[in-house]
Amino acid sequence: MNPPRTYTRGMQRWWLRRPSYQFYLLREGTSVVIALYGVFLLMGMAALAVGPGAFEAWRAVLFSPLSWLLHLVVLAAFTFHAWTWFKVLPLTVPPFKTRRFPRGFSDATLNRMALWAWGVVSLVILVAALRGLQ
Amino acid sequence: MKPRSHEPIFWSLFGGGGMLAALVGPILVLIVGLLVPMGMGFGPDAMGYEQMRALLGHPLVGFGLAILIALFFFHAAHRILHTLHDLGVHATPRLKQICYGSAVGGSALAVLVALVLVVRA
Repeated sequence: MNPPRTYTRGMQRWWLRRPSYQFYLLREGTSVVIALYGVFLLMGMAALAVGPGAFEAWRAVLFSPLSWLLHLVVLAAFTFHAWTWFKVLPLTVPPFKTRRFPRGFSDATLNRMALWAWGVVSLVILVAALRGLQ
Repeated sequence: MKPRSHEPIFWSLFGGGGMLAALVGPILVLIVGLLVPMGMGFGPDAMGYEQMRALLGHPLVGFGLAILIALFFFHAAHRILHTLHDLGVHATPRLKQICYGSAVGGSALAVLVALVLVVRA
């Protein structure tokens, strides 16, 4: 006797079925951009170690209009990553309490604290770069 | 005894990389990739060879950047591996070796380059 054949829906192109699935894939996709940007930074570091000629070549790529355009996309990917990373942060950090806040923190508060930390860190790096990299 | 899972190690590296990419990634891309090349707030000689050589010759900056790049790689390797599974590419031991192996290789290279930059500063 044949086993009962129940209908199971295939998983073909599941990401098209809901906007939240596409959002999820977009979020995970930022990791590809992050890896590529790591490779780009590593190339700059290696060029710096090789010598002035190699580094100027890398810097010329960085200063080209095509690079500006690509960096806009990279910036968008990193910002999207950061926004979603801090959004799920309350679910990924272990619950913690302090003496002043014995009941811990709500998800919204944790998210807000992370966003503030992001802003402060960014501002500190920007000010340091504006002073140091002239 | 049950063999221990490697997952906590890779998850920590994924988490650390994700956290750093979120905290410092956007401002780093904005400064290095857009503000400096466009000359917005920075002079035309910003990020020149001598300046960057001196900056990355400092152990904290050189190794700091290497660790940042390494964690980017581990973050991406972990995420790509698990997303490929969702896209129907099963996470075989071979695929894991490719993902985490390239992260290890890239990280080793980054630390090696930082070492050269710091030692020959």
